[in-house]
Amino acid sequence: MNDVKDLLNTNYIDEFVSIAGTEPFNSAIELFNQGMDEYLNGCRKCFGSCEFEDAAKELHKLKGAASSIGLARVMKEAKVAELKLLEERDAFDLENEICVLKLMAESDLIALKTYLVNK
Amino acid sequence: MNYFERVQKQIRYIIFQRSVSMITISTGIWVTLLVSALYWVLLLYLDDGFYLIDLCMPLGVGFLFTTVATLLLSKFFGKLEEERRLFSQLRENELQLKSSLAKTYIEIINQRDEKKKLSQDHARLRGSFSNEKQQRQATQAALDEQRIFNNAVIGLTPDVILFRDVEGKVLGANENLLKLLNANDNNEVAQQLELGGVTAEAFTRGDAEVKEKLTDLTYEVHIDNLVFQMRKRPAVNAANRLVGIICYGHDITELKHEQALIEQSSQAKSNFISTLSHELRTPLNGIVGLSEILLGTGHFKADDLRNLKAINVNAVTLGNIFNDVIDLNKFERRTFAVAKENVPWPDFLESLETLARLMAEQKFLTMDYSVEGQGFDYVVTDATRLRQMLWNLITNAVKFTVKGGIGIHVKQQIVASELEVSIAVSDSGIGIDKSEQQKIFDLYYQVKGTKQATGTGIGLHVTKELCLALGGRLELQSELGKGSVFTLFFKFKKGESEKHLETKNKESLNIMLVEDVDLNILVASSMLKGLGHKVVPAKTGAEAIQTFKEGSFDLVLLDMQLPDMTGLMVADELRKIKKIPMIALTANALHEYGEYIKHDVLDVITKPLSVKKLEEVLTRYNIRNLV
Repeated sequence: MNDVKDLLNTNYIDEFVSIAGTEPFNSAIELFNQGMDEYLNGCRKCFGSCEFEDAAKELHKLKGAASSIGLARVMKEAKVAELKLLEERDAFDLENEICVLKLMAESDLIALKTYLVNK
Repeated sequence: MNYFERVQKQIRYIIFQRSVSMITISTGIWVTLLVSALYWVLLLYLDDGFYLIDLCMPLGVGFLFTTVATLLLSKFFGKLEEERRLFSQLRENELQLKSSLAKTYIEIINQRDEKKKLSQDHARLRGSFSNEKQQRQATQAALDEQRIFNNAVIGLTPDVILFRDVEGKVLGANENLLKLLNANDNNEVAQQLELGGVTAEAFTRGDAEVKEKLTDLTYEVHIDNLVFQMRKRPAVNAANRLVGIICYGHDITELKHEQALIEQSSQAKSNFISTLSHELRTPLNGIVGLSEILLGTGHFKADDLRNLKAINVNAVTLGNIFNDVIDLNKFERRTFAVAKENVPWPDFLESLETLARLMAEQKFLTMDYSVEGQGFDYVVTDATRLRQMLWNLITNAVKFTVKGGIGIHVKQQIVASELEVSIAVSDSGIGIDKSEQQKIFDLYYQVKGTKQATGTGIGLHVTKELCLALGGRLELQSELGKGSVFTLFFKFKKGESEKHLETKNKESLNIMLVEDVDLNILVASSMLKGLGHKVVPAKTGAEAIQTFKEGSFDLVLLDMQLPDMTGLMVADELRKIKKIPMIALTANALHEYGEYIKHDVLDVITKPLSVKKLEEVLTRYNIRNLV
């Protein structure tokens, strides 16, 4: 079982909530959910057209979005995937990576919401 | 003559004719009767008998004569009348003919005039046609010459030239462009442009903007490891209608390379100077500090004290020379910035007097000091730079004065919540000739023929630059052999004491946040607003530039990857409008730190934005106090 500190950037979350409150943080989580699908679909599309740099940019955006709401594990995974895609290009197993990222995000978002509720 | 006139005339003729006949007949009758009566009387007188034949004969003769006369007269008058009528008719005909002749004559004259006019017009037209023909020939010749010249220019230029019509169809490409694109003719160039890609984008970028605004567009592109500066111009005809777009590309690869080398060299020089200054300043600060401590002990004899003061003064002077060299380097690199702070003004003036006295004492010169007028307790200025300027002026005053003394005279007055100050540094030294009074502010210039002309030659130049940077002015009055007065003029805002400042330390800033991802905008804005700052977002480079122009900001947080341009490109554009602190926001460090500095981006904060990182940067660059 992963410790919550492995999944979330709790220092950042605590700081944000103490300054801005939980409402903007919840709105940010909603935006992340919408954005994640867009980034992954965009990545898939670019990958299909062999535009690997653009596909990597979508993963980069996902990484930034994850860090903005303190999803540390998703952020690291997206960062690794971005670098691997640029290295392996058409040999990169994108679909598998998308599955991993989606599952990870789903699970870590539950952990995040639980963390916020317990604060 | 119309019908009624003719009838009238006929009737008159008949009446006339009958009248003549009647008159002739009646005259004949009366003459006959008279003659007959006379014959009868005569006959009666002369003759015995009066016979019938005697009665009838005179009557008969008379009536015969009357009849003949009547006939003859009728014929005569009739003939006469006929002649008269004929004459009248002839006269009438003559008049008609004359009239007709006159008309014809007038017509002939008119025709002649018209003919003359036509002839003149013809001559004029012929002349005009001849002129026009000559002009056209001349114009054609000029056009041919121009075409030859243009072809020569286009052929000889090392630039690439592309001309397209309004629809984008390629109308002309010069030889250099054909060579660059490996094309044989315009069609192949057109095909390459249609294919798209980097090369096509290089030539089609900004077309819409050029067509819409009818203005030139300049940008840089990379084509096959070469760097081109592209310049686009709309081609408009005499009726100001757009007919096409001309694109010139100038190969600046060498220039860029040289520029990079120069930048590299300049950066190396700057780094060297910064490092050297830092390395030298540390021991120098030690000398200054220790000498001040020793001076404060009061344990020294007069001679030793004088020597210690000399050590202190010379160390401070050396420190100022370092400052001048560093600032000169910053001026050259356009990276100089003033750092205004709250300065306790009376203390500043007091330390100025102390230092000036120390320097004057070294050469046994007098020092005259005065302050006129009321000032603020604190003023807002860059104390270090102000001190540096005054130190340069005082050093020169002492250097160029052999006997007599120097003076510092401060005049100040409060005008509309600002302190207007003039600080005059005077000396009774060698003075400066009028012909040299402008030149002495030039870099490395030193007055010739004076034994005092030792030094770096940069002090006055740096002083003037610093003065301008602080919004002041520097004036000189001097007379050769009599001395000089250098006067600094400034306007200072009222400052605040440190205690007052502490409470205002967390002052809110107007921040422009340039970020394209909504989530990042939400998160950064929420945090910044939570800290009490005002935030205005901009999602693209273009929006950022427009928002910056329209607003007033204390700080820009700048994402490095935007949809329409890079963060550094945005930084360059914002810098042209106004210089304010800019901090890069990035998930990865995309560039070397020096690259950010080149674009006037002070520092980099990695995402996600945190309070600690932000506060660190605000404090490091004293951003709140630069506002």
